Amino acid sequence: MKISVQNRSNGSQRKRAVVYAVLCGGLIAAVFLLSTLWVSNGASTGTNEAVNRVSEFYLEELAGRRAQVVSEELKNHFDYIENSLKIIESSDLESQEALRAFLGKVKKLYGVDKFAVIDENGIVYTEHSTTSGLSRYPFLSGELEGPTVSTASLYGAKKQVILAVPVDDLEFLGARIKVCFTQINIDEMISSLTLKTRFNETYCGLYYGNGEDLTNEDFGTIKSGYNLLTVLREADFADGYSYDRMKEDFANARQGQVSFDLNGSSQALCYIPVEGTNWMLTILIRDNVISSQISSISSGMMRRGIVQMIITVIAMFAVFLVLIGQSRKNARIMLEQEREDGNRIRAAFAQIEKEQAAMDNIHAALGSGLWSMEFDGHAKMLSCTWSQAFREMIGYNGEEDFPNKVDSWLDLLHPEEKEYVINEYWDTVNDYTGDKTFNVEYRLLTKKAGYRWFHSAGRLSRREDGSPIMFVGLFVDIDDEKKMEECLERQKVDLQDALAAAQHANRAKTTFLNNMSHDIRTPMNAIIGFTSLAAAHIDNKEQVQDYLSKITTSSNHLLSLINDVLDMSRIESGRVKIEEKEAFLPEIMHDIKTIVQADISSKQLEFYIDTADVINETILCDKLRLNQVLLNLLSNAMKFTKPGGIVSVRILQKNNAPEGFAFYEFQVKDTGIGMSKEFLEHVFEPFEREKTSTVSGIQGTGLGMAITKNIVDMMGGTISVSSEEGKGTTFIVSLQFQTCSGTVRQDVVPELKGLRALVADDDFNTCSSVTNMLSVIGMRPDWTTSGKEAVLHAKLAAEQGDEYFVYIIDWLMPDMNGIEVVRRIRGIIGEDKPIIILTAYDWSDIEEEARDAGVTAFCSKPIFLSELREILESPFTVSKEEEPNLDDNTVFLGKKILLVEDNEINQEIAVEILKEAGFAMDVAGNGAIAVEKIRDAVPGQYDLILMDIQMPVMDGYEAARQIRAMENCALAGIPIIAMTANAFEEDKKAAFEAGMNGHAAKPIDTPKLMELLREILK
Amino acid sequence: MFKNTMKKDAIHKRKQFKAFAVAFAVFMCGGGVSGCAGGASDPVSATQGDAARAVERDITSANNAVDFDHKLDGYAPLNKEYNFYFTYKMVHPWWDAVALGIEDAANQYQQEGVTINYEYLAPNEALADEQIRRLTDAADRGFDVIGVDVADVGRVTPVINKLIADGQKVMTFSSSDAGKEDGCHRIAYVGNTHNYEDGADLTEALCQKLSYRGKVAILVGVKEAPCHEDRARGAKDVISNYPGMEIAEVAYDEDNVEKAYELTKEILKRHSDLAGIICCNMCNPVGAARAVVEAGREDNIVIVGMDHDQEALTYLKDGVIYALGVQDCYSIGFDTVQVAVKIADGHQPGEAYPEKTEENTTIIYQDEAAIMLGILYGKME
Repeated sequence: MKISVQNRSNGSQRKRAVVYAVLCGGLIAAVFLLSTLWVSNGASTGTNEAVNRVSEFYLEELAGRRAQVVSEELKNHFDYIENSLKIIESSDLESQEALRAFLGKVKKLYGVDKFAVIDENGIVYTEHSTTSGLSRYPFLSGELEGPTVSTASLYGAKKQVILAVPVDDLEFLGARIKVCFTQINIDEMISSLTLKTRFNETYCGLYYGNGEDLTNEDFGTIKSGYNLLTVLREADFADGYSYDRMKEDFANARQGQVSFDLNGSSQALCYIPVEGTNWMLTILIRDNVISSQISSISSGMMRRGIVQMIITVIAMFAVFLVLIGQSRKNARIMLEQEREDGNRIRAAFAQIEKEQAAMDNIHAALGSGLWSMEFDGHAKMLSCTWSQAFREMIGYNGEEDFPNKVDSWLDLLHPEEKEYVINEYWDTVNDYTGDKTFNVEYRLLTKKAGYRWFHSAGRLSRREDGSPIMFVGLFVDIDDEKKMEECLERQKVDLQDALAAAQHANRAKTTFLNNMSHDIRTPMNAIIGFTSLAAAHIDNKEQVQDYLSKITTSSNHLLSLINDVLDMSRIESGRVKIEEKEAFLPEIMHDIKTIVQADISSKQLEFYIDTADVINETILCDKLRLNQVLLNLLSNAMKFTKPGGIVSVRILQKNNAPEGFAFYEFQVKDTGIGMSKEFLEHVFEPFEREKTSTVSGIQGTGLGMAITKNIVDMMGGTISVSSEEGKGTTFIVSLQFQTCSGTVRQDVVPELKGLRALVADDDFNTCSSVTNMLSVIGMRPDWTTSGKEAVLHAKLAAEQGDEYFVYIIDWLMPDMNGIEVVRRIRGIIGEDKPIIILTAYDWSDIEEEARDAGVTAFCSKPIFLSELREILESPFTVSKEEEPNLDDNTVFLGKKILLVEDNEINQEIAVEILKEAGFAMDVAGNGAIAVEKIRDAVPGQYDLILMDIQMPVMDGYEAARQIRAMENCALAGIPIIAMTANAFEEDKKAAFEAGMNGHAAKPIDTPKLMELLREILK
Repeated sequence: MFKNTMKKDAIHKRKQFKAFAVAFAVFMCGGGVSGCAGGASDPVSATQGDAARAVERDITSANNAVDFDHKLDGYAPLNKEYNFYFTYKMVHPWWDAVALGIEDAANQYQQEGVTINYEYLAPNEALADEQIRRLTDAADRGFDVIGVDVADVGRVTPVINKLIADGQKVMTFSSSDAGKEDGCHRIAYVGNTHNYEDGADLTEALCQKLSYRGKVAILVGVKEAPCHEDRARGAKDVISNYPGMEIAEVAYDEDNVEKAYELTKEILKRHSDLAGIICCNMCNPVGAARAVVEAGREDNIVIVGMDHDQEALTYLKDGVIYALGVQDCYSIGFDTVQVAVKIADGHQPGEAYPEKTEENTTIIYQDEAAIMLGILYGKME
C-alpha cells in the first residue's frame, strides 16, 4: 500500500516537473524571441540612423572628390590644347596631311576622343576628317574670348563636352585657325566617376544649372534625359531640406545636399558645382536600397534568431528529456549503488568499529590517547576533543572532569615545559608551509600520580592557502621510559663522573705515587743519611744526638705519611666505621688543643680557640674520628700558615637541631697561604695536593682532606672550605650529634649572682663567649680586648666601690701580657679576688711566674659553661696534686714481658726499649710458641704479653684467644697488649675482641708505649 | 580594349532606353485614350482613331526611326586606308546627323585597322555652283570616292557624269539623288529614296487631321533640291485629292529657319483661315511652329513637317506640330561610308551593295515626340 502511494506521489511529482520544464522552456523561448526582436529592431533603427549620417558624410566626400576630378579633367584638357598649340610648327600647317598627322599625334599623345582645329570658315580639321562645323559646334557662332567649356547634344544623344581654346596666330591653307578644341564623351567621363557596386546604390551625374541632364546615363531612379529639377519637383523632401533651396543652389552654382523620397525610394542627393563650368555634379545614394538590404539582413538575422531560438528550445527540451531519462536511469543506478554502498558502508562501519576497538586496545596497551582540534580559515580553534583514553591516562573520568578545551591540557603542563610546549604548538599551527610537526615531550600533572611524562605528536591537515583545518595527534605515556632514560642518564653521568673521577684518580694516583716517591724518599734519605752520619760520628755524642733527633723527625713524618695512606685505604675499602660513644665535648677540644699546642708553639703561631652558645657538652659521637677531623684541619692550618700567622678554632652550637640532637659548627681558620680556586674544587679529593705544596717544601700526602671529608660524610655532616690565596683558609665542619645528658646547667649561681666580672682578651669572640656564660650564671660581666684597659677597669671598679669579683684575663694580649695585667690588677685589688688566666697555650713554663704575679688559677681555652661554672663554684684555693712522673719507670722494674714477635729486628728493638725501661724480657717467635710458653709458665711468670698480630704459625689474635681460653685463670688473665703494625681502629677492635687489653701501633712510640704499660700494669 | 568596352556599354544603354521608350509610349497612350474622348470635329485635337493608329505606329516606328546600332556589314576592305570626299547641299544640322553616321563608320573601320580619311564639307547656303566647284576641286585631289548630296539635279548631274567620265568614283548620298533616270552616271546612292511618299504621307496625315478640309500652306526648302521638291509634289498631289483642302501658298525657305519663320508669319497674316502648314524640309517646321505659336494659332493650325530638329520635336511634343517625318540620317551616313569603301575597292552596285541603299523615314506624332527627343537628343521632357 505504501509503495502504491509512493508511486502515485512520484508520478505526480514527475508530471509537475514536466509542466514546470515546459513552462520554463516556453518562458525562455519567449525571452529569446522578445530579446531577438528587440535587438533586431534596435539594430535596424540604429543602422538607419547610421546610414543617414554616413550617407551625408559619404555623399559630401564623394561629390567633392568627383567634382574635383571633373574639374581637373577639364583643366587637363585645356592644358593639352595649350601644350599642343605651343608645339605646333609651321611644317604641320603646310598641308592637310601634315596637319592631320600633327592632330593624330596629339590625340594619341593625350588620349582624347577628338582633337581638332577650326579655321575661320568653320572647317573642322581632325586626324582623319575635314568637316563643316558651323552648325555642329555652337561656340563657332561667335568669337571665343577664352577657353570655353561647352556641350553638344548631337544627333543620337551623343552628348559631348567640348573644350575650346581660341587661337590667334596660326594659319592653314590661307585661312586663320580660329579655335582648337578637344571633345570628351560625357558618358565615358561620368562612368569613370560613378561608383559601380553590386547593388549600384551610389550614382554620379552631371546637370546644368537649370537641371538639364548632361549625360546619357540613368541617375539612380532618375532616367537619363530628365531634368533633375523637374523630376525632384515631385519628390517628398525630408525635414530640413527643400526643393526651392536646391533649385536656388543649382541656379547659383552652390553646393548642397538634400534627402527625399522619390517613387517610394528614400534617397540622398549631394550636388556641387564643377569649377569652370555651369555644371552641377551630383551624387545620389538610395538610402532605401541600403536600408532594405539592412532590413533584409536584419530580417534575416531575426528569422535566423527565431529559428535558432526555436532550435535551441527544442534542443533544450530534447536535452531536458534526455536528462530526465538519464537522471531516472542514474537514479536507478544510484539507488542500486546506494544499496551496494550502504552494504559496503555498513561493512566498512563494522570494520571501522572493529578497527576502532582494536585501536582502543592498542591505545590502551600502548598507553596512548588521541586528541584532535579543528580550526577555521584564520587558524582560530573551533573545537578541541580529548579522547577518553587520554583522559583515563591522566586520571580523569569524563568530559566533566576534563572538558574538551585546550586549557584543560595547558593548565596541567609542568611549568618547566609549559612555555616550550605552547610555543611548539602554535608554531606548528601557524606554520602554513606544513613542514613542521608537533612532536614534544613534557610532564603533565595527572590527577592521581603527580607529574608524568608524556610524548605528544600530531600533524595538521591544511587548506590550499596553508591555513589549518584539523590538528590530530597522539599522547603516549612515556613516564616509565623517561624515568628509565633519566636513570640511565644519571647512570651515564655517574659513570662519566666515575670515569672522570677514575681517570682523575688515576692521574692523581700517578701524581700521588710521584709525590709519595718524593715524600717517602725524602725522610728515608734523611733517616738513612743521618744514620750513616751517626755511625760515622759515633764517638761524637752531641753530633750523634743531633743526627738521631733528625732521624726521629724524619721517621715521624714517614710514619704519619704511612698512617694517612693506610687510613685512606681503609676508608675507601669501607672498613672504617663510625662508632658513636658518649663523649664530653670540652674534653675533646682540650685534647685537641693539647695535641696541637706543641706545634703551635714551635711554629710560633697565634692560636685562638673558643666556643659560642654551646649548651650541650655531652654528646654521642665517635670521638676518635672527630678528633681526627679537627686535627687534620688544624694540622693543615698550621702546616700552611707561616710563623706569626693565626690559627683559630671555634665551636658554635646552632639552635636548629631537632629535639635530642645538637648541631655544631666547627670553624678552623688560618691566615696561611690559602688555595687556588682550581684546587678548591679538588681539595677533598684523594691524592690531591696543591701543586705548590711540594715546591714550597711543605710535605703532605694529599690524603688529609680526603680522609677528613670521608669521615665527615660518614658522620652525616658537611664540610666546606673557603680560601683565598695569600690570605688564608677557613674550613667549616657541620655536624649533628645526639645529645646524651641534656644541656649543661644554666641556672644562676646564687653565690655569684650580681657580682661583677671582668673579661680581658684580645679575641673578641672569647670576650663575647665568656661574657655570655657569666651572664648565664648570674654575674655582671664587663669585657675588654685590651690588657691596659682591663687594669683601668679594675682600678675604676675599685674606686667606685664596685669591684670585680673575678677577673678572667687572657695570657697573651698585644698591648700587655696577662701576667703583667694580673700583677697590676693585684696591685689595685690586692689578693682577695680571684684572677684566672685563660689561655690556649701551655702555661707550665710561666705558671710559677704567674702565680707569683697573683694568678689564682689557669683555665685552658676553650672554656665551656660547665667548666666556667665549676671554676667559679669551686673553692679558689688550689691543692696541688702530685703529677705523675711520666718518666718514672720504677714501676716496671722486675716485671717480665713476653714479647711475641716473628721479626727479629723488631724483637731486638722492642727488647732493647723495654729492657731500657726495666722490664725482663722473654721472646716467642709466633703465637703458638707464645701459647706454649704461657701454658708452660707458672702464674706470675709473665706480667704482660706484647703480642704481634701477623705472625707465622699462629697470629696474635688466635694466640690471645687461646691464652684467654686457658683453664689457668692466672695465666689466662695475663694482660696482653697488641703491638702491631695493624694500627687501624678495626685492628684495635679486633684485638680487644680477641681478648687483648690494649693496642700499641708500630713503629713503637716509646712514651706512648710506656704510658700504656704503666696504665695496664697499674 | 577599355574604349571598346565602353562603346559596347553605351550601345547596350541605348537599347535599354528604347525598351523604356516603348513602355513609356504605352503608358502615355493609355492616358491619351482616356483624355481625348470626343472632339472629333476639332480639327486639331487628335481623334480617337488617330490615337489608336499612332499607338500602333509608335510601337514600331519609335524603335525603327533611327538605327544607331549600326555595325559594319562584314565586308573586308581591300585597302588599309581610304580617302573620301563628301559634299552636301549646305551646312545644316540635318547633315550633322549624317556626319555622325559617317564618323561612327570611320571609327569602326579604324578599330578594324582600316583608316578612313574624309572630308565632309558644304557651303553655308545651298548653291549648285558651289557644289559643282567643290566636286571639281575634289576631282583634282585624288579621292578614292566622291560623294555628293545633289543640290540641283540638273546642274550637278553633268559634273558628276564628267567626273565619272574622268575616272572618278562618284556616288550620291543623303537626301537627294541624281539617278539613272536623271541621266546621271553616279555609281550608287545611299539615302532617302521616297521623298515624294514622305511628303504625301505627311500631307495625308494632315488632311486626315483636318478632316480633309481647310486651307494649307506648303513650305519647301531649296528650289530644285530633289528631296524638297519631291516632298512638295507629294503634298500637292494629296491635297489635290481632297476637295475640302486648299493650298493657300507654297514658299521656299532655302533651308533657313528664320526664313521659314518669316514666311510663315506672312502666310499667317495673309491667311487667317489657314488650317495647316506642310513643311518639306527640316527648317520649315521650326520656323512655321515659331510663327504659329507666336501668332497664338497653334490650336487652329496643323503643322506637319520633316526631320528631327530638336526644336521641331519639342513643338511636336507640345502639340504645336502634329507630325514629323523623321529620316534615319545616322544610317545614311554610316551606310554611305560602307558603300564608298566598296566603291573604292572597285565593286559595282549589285555585287556588294545595292545601287540604291534606301533609308527609312518614320512619321511620328506628339506622343512619340518625347521618345524621339530622348533617342536623338537625350531629352525626356
